[in-house]
Amino acid sequence: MSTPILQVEGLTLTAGGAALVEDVSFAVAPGEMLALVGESGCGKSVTALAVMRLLAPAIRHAAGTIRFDGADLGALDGEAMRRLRGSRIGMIFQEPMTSLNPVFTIGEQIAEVLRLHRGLSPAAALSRAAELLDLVGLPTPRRQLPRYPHQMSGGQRQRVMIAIALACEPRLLIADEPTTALDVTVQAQILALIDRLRRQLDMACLLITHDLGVVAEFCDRAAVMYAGRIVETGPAEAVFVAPRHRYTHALVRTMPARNPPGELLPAIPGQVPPPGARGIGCAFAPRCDAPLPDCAVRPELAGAPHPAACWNPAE
Amino acid sequence: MTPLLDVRGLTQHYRTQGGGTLRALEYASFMLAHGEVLGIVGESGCGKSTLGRAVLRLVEPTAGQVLFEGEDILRLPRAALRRRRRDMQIVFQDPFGALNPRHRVATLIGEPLTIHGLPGVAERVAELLDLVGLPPDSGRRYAHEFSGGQRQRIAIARALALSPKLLVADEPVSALDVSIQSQIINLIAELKRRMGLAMLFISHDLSVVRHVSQRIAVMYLGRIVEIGPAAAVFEHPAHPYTQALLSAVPQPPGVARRERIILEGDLPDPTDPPPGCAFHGRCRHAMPRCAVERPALVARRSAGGVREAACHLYEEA
Repeated sequence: MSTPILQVEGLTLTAGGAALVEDVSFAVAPGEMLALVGESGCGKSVTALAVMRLLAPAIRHAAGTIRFDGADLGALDGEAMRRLRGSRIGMIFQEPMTSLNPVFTIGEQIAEVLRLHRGLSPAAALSRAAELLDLVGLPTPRRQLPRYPHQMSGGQRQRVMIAIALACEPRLLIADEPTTALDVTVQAQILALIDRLRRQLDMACLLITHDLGVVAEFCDRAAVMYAGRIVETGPAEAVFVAPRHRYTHALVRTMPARNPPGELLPAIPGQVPPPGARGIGCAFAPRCDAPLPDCAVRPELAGAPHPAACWNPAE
Repeated sequence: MTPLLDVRGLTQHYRTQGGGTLRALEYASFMLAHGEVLGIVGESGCGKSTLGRAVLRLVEPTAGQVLFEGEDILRLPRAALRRRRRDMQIVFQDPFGALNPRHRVATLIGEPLTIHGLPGVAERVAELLDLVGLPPDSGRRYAHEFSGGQRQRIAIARALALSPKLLVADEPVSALDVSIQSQIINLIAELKRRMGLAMLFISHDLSVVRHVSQRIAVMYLGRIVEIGPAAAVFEHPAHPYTQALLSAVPQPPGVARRERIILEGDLPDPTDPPPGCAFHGRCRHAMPRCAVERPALVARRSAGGVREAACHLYEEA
């Protein structure tokens, strides 16, 4: 693997004394797509927010370092971080409607980024905006510029968000559930677009998702999160074809598409424990179908062919 | 034998602010047998939720018939409709919005019985809690004390309180995490088996629909474009839209992938649908005739059984 553009080491985030994310480490290389995958409350989105330094005031960055292109993001002042966001780190979120300003045209919103970060003249910025809309596959880009967000479909709005995120040719794109609010045929278009662009621009991509199908199809590597920790990480294919952690194993097995129609699904009993009630051992042990006495002690993320934090990994 | 449900030409139009007509549902016809699950799939705005609501007469359909055990729901006077409603219930996607936060769970689940003046509410509530796998003391608590999956169990218990014959399930597991989703799918399958419940199972999640349904209807822009046995529709989709829709689903590892058909463009405006086949502008098999003449649903025998598809490819020239 080439030198990572993003390197997160031992990240711990707390809120009101309870840990939301604990000891999370991962790295993404240029041109690579890494998925942070897990269910609601596992800590994947808050991890992405920490990378962008956009944490809510109540959340404390308690430990760990985040290095971007060699620089420690924790050491940057607010102004330097603002310059980085939107220029060298691009972001897209789940709901494009709430991320776009309803009272400005999309041309104005893309041009703003270019004038702010690149100092382009208004005319040059608009012309570049049209190029970007073309890049993200919107037809007749010049005619799209004067439109308002509400005049576009969900898929078109998400393309505009991607155009804004890519305006300054970022080294890293963080995409938090970018297709969750979209229909399945539109989802396929948007994911194919992100996949093409990261290769074309040699851009690192951190994809936050709960959808294992998306991970398996579009990502190079995956880090599975459960209850605030990475429990398994490795090549996306290997993680889901030959999962080692009992949680990943159960998650893959329970998917309807993996089971004969009409038959009982091998469900995972119980619920994800909330922050503050995750215990000192393996947080998945109470729901696990193959627990051992050892599980009362937290397992390290280790082992081969890819690391998993499990005392009794699946074969 | 009379089917449980015989829907004929069901149509729902809405007037838009600009004075136009939104054709949310156009001439939907299908039958549902006792104890059968019909999955309804399609993307946002295709009319699948409108179909579910129109069948229960939660909206007043513009035209058509909904024969429930031979009796047209749309022509029933108020009092008779209210009695009939015991037999037909609905579960929604969002169990947060569906449950009154100020009432205890026992009140929520027992409410349908109270409304219909039935005796033995407390006993029935205890029975229902057990049926949906909630602890016996849940009745004394409030909905907000429960997780999303448990709230959906409460909503299901309430829907089943009157032992309906038909359940419309509108995206019942879409708001739930994967691990919780399986628990609720299993619960629904179990209830169907035990109670002989027939269901319209509406979802945008194709693998979930495939798992629970015997037959599947695919909708596009207000119309059913293909309907047939689940295996036939999934393994050998006939309509080009069904083919594209199925190919777009990212498959979990270990499941064979279909050749992806990326659809160009967006869904047409439902207040101004294209003439001919509504899908022709995005279809890779479009012929000149598709732009002018709307194809009818035509029965067709193929691998996996008889299914109907509304596509000129399958009509005699």
